[in-house]
Amino acid sequence: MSAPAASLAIVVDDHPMCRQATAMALGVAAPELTVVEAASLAEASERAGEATLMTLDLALPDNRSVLGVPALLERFPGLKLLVISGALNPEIEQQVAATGAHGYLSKATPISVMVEAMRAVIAGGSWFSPAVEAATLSPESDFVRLSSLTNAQSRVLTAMESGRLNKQIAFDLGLSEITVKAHVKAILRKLAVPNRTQAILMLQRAQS
Amino acid sequence: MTTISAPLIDPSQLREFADFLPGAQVQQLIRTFTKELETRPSMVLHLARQGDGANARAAAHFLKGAALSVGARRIALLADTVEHADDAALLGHAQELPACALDTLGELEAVEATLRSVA
Repeated sequence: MSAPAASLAIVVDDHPMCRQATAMALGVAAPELTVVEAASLAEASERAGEATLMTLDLALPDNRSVLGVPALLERFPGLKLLVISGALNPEIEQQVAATGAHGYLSKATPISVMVEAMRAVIAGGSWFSPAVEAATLSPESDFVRLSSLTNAQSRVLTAMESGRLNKQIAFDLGLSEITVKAHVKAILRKLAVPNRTQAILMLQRAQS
Repeated sequence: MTTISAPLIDPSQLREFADFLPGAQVQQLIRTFTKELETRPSMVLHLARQGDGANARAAAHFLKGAALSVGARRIALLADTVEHADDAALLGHAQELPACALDTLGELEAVEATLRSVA
């Protein structure tokens, strides 16, 4: 039986202990919410349509980086998304802010701050460090370029990463080979790279 | 040898858990992290010795997330170093994890005892 809308929060992390800690913080921040835990984005997506809030780890088996966030928000526009990451690279927060997510926390954040952030995001606010809110990413950064790809182009790029040829990509994605060729051309143009190898390297840099 | 000057445990992070959560929940977190420390570092090392860099890095990432959640900073940073090490350096860094885990377990026990005495 599904919980009624606006009373559900989903904690998405593939580590049980991290889910446990986040769920405990949510229990303090919003005891009125029913908290469900998910170990993958696919599992979380089953309930995301009913959820008020999702806390999302960025290193899941089926979502390896910030690049999965825009598609998630596009699919569930009513969802408030708080990213909770173990990444120690400060650029990640800036990238998360650029995706339209509602907040970002490091896994090292003390529970008092975590509770405050959760309450702010649930109330419709956002939670980023002031330096990140003031900054903007360069339009020439890998992340901004990769974020400019459509969902279809992102899928083609991901398929390119596994070394597949246009014909194989077309078969896998149910597209014509001509469409795949057009997507590849658009990908290279948007990423401002001369060939597939450079496009794949850019994707791998952004995911690392 | 990696030099990481961060404290083994940031006691304030665990103290905050104790301030915000019922004692049983704090104990549960500590127990789960203790299990993590007892198993994951040797798993990372084993995988690194087998030459399975991808899974060694994935296991190090798991350890880092858990460690950050409870303020175990030194092992979190060491796990991050393993996670991002190139193939040549991976095993060397992974070999440091078990000893750091033992030190962290000792410190965790001390912090836990302090929390119990305050409660």
